[in-house]
Amino acid sequence: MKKKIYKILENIDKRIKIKNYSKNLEVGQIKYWDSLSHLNFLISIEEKFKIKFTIDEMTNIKSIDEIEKALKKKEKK
Amino acid sequence: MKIEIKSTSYLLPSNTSWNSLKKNNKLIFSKYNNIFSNPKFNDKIQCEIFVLFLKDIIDYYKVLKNGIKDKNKKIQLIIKLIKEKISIYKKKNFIISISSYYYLNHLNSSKNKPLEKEIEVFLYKELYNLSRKHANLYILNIDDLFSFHGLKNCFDERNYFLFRCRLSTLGLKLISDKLSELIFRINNTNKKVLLLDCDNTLWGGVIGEDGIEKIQLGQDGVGLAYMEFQKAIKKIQESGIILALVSKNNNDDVINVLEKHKSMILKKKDITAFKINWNEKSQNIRQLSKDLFLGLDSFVFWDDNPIERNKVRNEIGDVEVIEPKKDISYWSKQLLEYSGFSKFQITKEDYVKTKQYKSRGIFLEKKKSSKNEIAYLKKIKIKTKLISVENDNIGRASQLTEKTNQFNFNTKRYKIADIKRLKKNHLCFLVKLSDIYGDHGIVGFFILKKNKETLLVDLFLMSCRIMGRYLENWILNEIKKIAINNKKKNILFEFIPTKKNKELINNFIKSNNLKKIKKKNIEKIEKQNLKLENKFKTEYYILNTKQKITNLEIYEK
Repeated sequence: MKKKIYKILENIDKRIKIKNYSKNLEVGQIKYWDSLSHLNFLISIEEKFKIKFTIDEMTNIKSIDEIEKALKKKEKK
Repeated sequence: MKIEIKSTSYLLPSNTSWNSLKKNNKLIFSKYNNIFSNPKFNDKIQCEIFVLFLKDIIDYYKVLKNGIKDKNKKIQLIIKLIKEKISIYKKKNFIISISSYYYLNHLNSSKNKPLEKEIEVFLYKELYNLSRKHANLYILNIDDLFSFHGLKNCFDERNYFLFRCRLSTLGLKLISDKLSELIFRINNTNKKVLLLDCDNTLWGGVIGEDGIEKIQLGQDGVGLAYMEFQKAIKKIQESGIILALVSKNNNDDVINVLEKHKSMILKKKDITAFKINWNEKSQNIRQLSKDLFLGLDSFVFWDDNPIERNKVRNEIGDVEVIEPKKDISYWSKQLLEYSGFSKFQITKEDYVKTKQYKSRGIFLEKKKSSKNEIAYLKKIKIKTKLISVENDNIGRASQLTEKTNQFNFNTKRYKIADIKRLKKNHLCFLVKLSDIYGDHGIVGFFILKKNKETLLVDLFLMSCRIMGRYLENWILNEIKKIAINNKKKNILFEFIPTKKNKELINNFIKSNNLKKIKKKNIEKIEKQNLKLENKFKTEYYILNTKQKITNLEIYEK
């Protein structure tokens, strides 16, 4: 699932290039993945996975691992 | 188009919801405070879009406390700022989108109209007044747009707290899609012809097999749905769209239904052209394009049969082939919502379009079947008149430059202000025409500039409606007379070939012996550097005033 999530991030800004799809990264660690593109990223995740994040999740989720965890939790429901 | 979007809310510019608008346009999103300011050089912006959320503009609590006075002040200020902008920047287009969505406890408004509604009504009244007076102002009612999908699905409070964006991604996408449609329509003329199949399109069943008694039209159920579809088609026709039947059938069978079936909404008189035969539909459609002098890109095709639809789609790329909904119950709505036929204004001319085209059809048929074309044209008593451009016809003059594509030497589009400016040092003439087929009104427009040695034709266009009368030769002769009166030995023509004009203009050039000339040779004749059009592909042609012009005997009294 990490790869799918990273692909969505790369789609937000064509300049973003992920070298290792299995590594856990968080916002601010690579160029062009800043707080604004991060929010856009989370909204894109919502659209692609057809889920909705709460306002808390939108402000607290910062890393790929956290996204994955939240997605799995919502899938169970 | 270069577009600037200003809003009182943040609109998530990088979100994929904006893709439909980004596809054909360059978008710039401005900072969302101070939306009426004019940042340095926004002259390159061709369209300014305002997305105003009344919630952001009007502090409702303040209004409630102070009452009506405060609300009026703020709204009056907005109207004033908008008025100023659209008056100063006449060449720009402005689209004002408004949402006054508010949470409503519906029972609270059972006795008293909510204040938000009062404000909304007042604001729209002022804005629509303005949009009627100013050609460059368009209004987009966002709440109406959203209501189909459910207002609550288009707004998202969470996004407001995160980025001050009041909308959900669905709301953003709907706005982007609608703006994209509106901008396309502002820059392109709408479709002109609706091509209709007959069997299972205008009625249920196949007339050739079921017979007039068994086709489904008018009876409860499917028959009623087809009747409703015909009503929608009639509405489209009344707004100025031409109807043509394109059907694989025996002509008599179809005409019989048109004339005799009691539930037919469409009558024979509503149909301009009939291509009812066993030929391929693409072939018929191409022939129609020639008969009507209308480009294939102004045609829309509606056929229930996916095989026929695909054939036309593949064989004629320019025709818009509609994919009808699977359930005919929704065809009426689908047709009326189709934006290709949408008009900003329905004019007097639109009401008589069908009649005009029909009488053109009769003219062309009679001419074709006459033994001597010239003799026939002499018989129809053509009367022509040259008139100068004045205030009462400058609108029509401008409209001609915007709409005429086929007999048009250089497709220059002139707004009323442009023509007023040209009138100062150019000779501007309009051509009126009438004959036994009626008074065709103003059908031609040409603009001349006197140079030292030559007379330059800055503009020369003619409506296709009256093609086939050699009027272009008569006009050429009038231009020749003006050249001689002004002691110019040569007339210069500027031709910018396009897909739409190259056939007619090249024919005109050939049949009137206009000689191609290089720009440097023109400068030799003029003995000076003329500021000539430098566009790639511009060709120049010259006509000596000594040359005789053919087919003028049609116009001799």
